[in-house]
Amino acid sequence: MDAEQRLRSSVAYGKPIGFVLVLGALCALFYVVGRAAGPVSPELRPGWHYPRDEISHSAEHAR
Amino acid sequence: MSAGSGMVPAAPADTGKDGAAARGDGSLITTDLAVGGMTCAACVARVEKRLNRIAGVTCGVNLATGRARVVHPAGVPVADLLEAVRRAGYTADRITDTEDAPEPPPTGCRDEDCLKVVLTAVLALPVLLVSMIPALQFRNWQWICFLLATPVALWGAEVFHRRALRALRHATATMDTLVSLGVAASYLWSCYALFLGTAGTPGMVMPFSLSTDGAHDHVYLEATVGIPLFVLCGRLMEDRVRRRTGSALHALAELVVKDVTVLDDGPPGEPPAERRVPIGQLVPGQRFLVRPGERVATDGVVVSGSAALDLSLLTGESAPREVGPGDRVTGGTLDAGGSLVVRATEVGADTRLGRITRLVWEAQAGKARVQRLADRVAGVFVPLVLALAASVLGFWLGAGASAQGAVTTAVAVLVVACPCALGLATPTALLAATGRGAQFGVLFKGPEVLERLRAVDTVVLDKTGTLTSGRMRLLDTVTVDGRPASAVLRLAAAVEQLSEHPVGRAIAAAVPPAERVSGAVSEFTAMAGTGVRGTVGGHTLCVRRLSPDARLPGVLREAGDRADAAGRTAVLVEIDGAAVAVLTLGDTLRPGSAELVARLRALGVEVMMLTGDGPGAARAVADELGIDQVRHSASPEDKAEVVAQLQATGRVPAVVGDGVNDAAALAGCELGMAVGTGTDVAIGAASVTLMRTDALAVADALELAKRAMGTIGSNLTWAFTYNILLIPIAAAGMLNPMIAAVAMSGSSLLVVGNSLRLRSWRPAGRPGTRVP
Repeated sequence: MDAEQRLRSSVAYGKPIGFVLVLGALCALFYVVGRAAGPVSPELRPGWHYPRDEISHSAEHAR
Repeated sequence: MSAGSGMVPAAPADTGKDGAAARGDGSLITTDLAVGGMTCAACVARVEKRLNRIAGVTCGVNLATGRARVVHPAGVPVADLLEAVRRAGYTADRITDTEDAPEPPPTGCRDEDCLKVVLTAVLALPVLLVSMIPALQFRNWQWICFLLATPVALWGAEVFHRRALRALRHATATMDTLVSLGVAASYLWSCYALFLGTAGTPGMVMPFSLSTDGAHDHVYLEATVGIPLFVLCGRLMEDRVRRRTGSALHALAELVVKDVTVLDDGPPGEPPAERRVPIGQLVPGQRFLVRPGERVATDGVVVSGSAALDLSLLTGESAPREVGPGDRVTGGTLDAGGSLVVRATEVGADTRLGRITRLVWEAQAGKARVQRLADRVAGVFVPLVLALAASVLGFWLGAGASAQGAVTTAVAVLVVACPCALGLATPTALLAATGRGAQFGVLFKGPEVLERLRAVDTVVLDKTGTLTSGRMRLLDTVTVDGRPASAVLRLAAAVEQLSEHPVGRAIAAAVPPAERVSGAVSEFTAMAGTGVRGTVGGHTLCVRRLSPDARLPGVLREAGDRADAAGRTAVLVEIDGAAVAVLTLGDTLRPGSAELVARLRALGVEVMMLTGDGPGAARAVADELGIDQVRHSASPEDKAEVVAQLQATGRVPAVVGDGVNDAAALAGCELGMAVGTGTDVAIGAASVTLMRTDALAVADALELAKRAMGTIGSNLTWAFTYNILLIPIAAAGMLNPMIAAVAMSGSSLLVVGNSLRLRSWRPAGRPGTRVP
């Protein structure tokens, strides 16, 4: 019974650790994929904005 | 998931007093558990998985009612079930009082939940406004926002963190994991940017963007406060709406009388003593008093008095019914005028109200096939989303995006992908539909019944008790010349009022008491099997069955032949030995029978009549209703055989019946509907019980099922479409995490709101029907 209990707790702890490791592995794998595919042009990257000086330059130009 | 998962236990055959329902074989027990802490379909899948792991256990968990119905061997103690649920990370309590169906939680929100949402909103709104409107960003605004956001991230979102940790301890991930990770990631990133980056510089200004912003050292405090605020608000509203969809049980619970005035026999010659007792102390056989404005305490028979009873809350019928001595009354009905003394015949769960409540409870506790599919999809959805977020993070880091942009994109994916709309799509619609059906006198035994009902393409209707009332009524009076029909009828009614025969009662009922011949009937004789004889007003009257060899005037002979051909009963009236009239009696159509046939045809359903009566009676009713397919002289076995033949030809039949002779057909068909006034055997064998006296309830049940399944279809389409569309947008970095939180909560509310529309469903042609 004790052995079964120990096995159960090992599985209980092992599962989340294993899942986190899988997530880490996926992150690493897709990092490599991103490196291979990239660099993605700045306009397509998350959160990319026109630089502020360019915006103000365009605004002055328009005026 | 174990082999047993996904199976939903059928309704228990018999329910024990302790809330556990014992199966007929005695080896399996059904136990209902109240499960706390479930928020999405993934939670449902988890609880089911844990319970189904126990040997011999099958269970069905309902997110909308927060209950688990577990069928387990008698050897498996309930404590093991509770422990299994707790191991899965949820709270569990045994429902010990299913006898009168569990009392649903009150429809209002809990005070502490409301307070939490209000305080979170007070702290979060300034952060949202200042972070999103650059013009409001004063010097060092980011530090003030950080101070306001910290309690929201730690206390406001505490419930998500706690549940996520609990799930993690049990090696699982839920919707709370997604929200908790989203809040934690955006808060920790903001801390990093403020303390170690350049975001803490006095005078820092941050532009608003719908998408993620990785161009500057950015604080994501608006996401930190926005995600828990919107999710908490969404859940609070969902909770309220979900509870409202289950209000049918509330309405039924309100019909239960708490106290009753019992009448105890006093000394001879004195009136009975009145005694007020709790309803639990009333036993069958006791007499109790019902005063105007009170509800009838339990099922019984009227001993004395007369009253008009309002049955609307029980059957949906709006017209009050007059009752007097000898009439049966139903517990829960409202005395609209007049006092009654009633002898109790059934109490507690044996009453009609008890049976209705149990049927509604069974229907709402079960789970439909489509819901099980959605739960299974949602169960694997959360780990997939976590994997997707990790992949997105890695990809953007590798593809050259800033760390801030990559993290924010991953957070948006986590938040937007929550499958809570998927989990709510089916149970809320089924809950609303079964509750609404109950309000209109249509009781479904389980949600899967609605699914089967939609597929029905043939309705097989029993004649007597379903299309016809099953009660004799005078249809025609033919007299010889010189004998006014009304005068003959008055004399016949005077004699027949002493008869107990259904024919005699029908003739007596045809003349109002005020119009009957005054004076006593003398020399009354009931002639077994043939008729009655008596003297009234100085005339000797004989009302007897018409025999084929009797010598009659032509007009009476023709009337007798016509009645015979139509399968009706003809009786001859003789006054002073002379044949003077033939009275034709027959069964009458139930209200709405003709409209029912028309509505079923309009729904694209074929109509067939199946009866044990002879060809004449069957054809007469079929012609009157315009039914082409008729099977007459059918025994119970024949009825089951006809249903089997229909199924063999690929049709999906529903059988509507009321009698013991219909039970085999009701049980054998795709879907059986029993008329509520029918026998307990028929009701037990059927999947749907129709509590109304009009036949239209059959069409109402079909229409409601079609409408409910349509709602479920649109809910699931929306839930899947939402995730399929927004996850790629979020993964591409085009969605701010805060907007993702709004979208996720809005999606759940949309689904629940769509289900709620079923509560306003009305049967066709019943605009004035009560809406509780």
